[in-house]
Amino acid sequence: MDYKNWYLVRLFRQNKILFIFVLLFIFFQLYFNQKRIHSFPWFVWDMYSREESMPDTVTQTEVFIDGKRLDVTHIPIWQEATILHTYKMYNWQKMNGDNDPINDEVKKRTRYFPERVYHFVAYKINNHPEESQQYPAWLKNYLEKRLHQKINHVELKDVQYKYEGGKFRQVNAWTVLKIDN
Amino acid sequence: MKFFDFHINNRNTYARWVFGFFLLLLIYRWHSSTFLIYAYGAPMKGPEMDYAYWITLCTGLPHFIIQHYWACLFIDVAVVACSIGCFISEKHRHVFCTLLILFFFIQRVTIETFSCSHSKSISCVFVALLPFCFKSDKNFMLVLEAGRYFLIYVMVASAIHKLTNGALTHPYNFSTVLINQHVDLATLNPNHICYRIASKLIQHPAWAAASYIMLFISQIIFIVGFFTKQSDRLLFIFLFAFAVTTYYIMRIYNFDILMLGFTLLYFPARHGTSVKRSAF
Repeated sequence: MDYKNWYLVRLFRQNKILFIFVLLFIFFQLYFNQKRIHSFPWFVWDMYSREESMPDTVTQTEVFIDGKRLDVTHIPIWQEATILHTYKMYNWQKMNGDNDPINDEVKKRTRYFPERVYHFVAYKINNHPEESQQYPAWLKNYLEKRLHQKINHVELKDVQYKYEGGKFRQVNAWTVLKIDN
Repeated sequence: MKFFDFHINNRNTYARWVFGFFLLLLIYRWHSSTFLIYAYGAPMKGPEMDYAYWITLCTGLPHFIIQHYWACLFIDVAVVACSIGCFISEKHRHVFCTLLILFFFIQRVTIETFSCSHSKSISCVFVALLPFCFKSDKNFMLVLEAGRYFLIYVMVASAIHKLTNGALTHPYNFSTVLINQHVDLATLNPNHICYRIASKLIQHPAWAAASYIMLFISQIIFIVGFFTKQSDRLLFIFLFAFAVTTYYIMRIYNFDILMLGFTLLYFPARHGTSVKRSAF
């Protein structure tokens, strides 16, 4: 095994600028891996690598359109993710008194900078109350356009299931968001 | 086995494969509404802890784009036009590709932030595009090789995490993972092909454990790629199987990673013959 054939050695000999970029890329990959932070393009590739336990109950968000449950498995995965993840963000903020919980992280990351830097970053990164007020109307519009139908009433419910005998049995349900015309 | 002889030995042909596949991914994204015009006006942001997304958001550009329909349309059209340019033009491919990376990055950051949905495998698409930004064959090959090593790292790191985080020592646990993963299918659409496959594994935890171990093997085998390039075509088959099976068992979209997989099929010809790249 001739070390002259090693990729990094060849790279160093042929293009020193690229060599520095590749070393920086490796450094940041190791750094973010160590810190367990997902930051594009340096992700921690640890999907489904942990032992999971079966919780007593599983809570799932369900969307009801004009009283009929939307079958999210019949729409593309990205549409499903957009509906459910934006709703989770909205709900997260509402549960935190209309303050975005990510603000704690903004504070932490800007703690070594002057106060005005925190205010600037928080303004750009945080969700603000006026944005969460716009969310229900946007969601209804998004659903109408993606499902190609006029919608009068949207209801989002959190439903609790218990897994018993190979099947999920509903044990509880509560409405979290109602959008009317 | 003719497939094991299959390789791409010409830079232009390789570009056609990569950008042809990228255009297919764009068609799928169009079908699944992963274009900015579909998310226009979205108010909620979800950049997670991603520094790259935070920095881009601090410029104010994603906020501006999502609030203006014409800006959403412009970025979407620019992504499609640049990818068609990359597919067609050999002479100006490096220019089109540089622009494509720029517009695609803006599109991804904006749409993923305002859909509150982060995708890891998208980084593989960017790494697969990078070599085409270089005009000289020497730099193209060096960056392409870096991309190949990145792909191998992704697969091996994923396997090692399964070992170090403990899931591999409890492979029977995979049936629990499948139960948690498919709550929506179980309650809404139990006849879905993914759930029919998963429910067989849930009913037979030993089969689930075996499939998890097979998944681990299909990833750890990529370690061979750090030492030799002789097995690259075989690794491509493993990668293809990984992308297909993770969809059918887990209902996870992993096809972005395949775009980087084409680096495993590129054996450039020298002096009229196809040359097997040396180890390292």
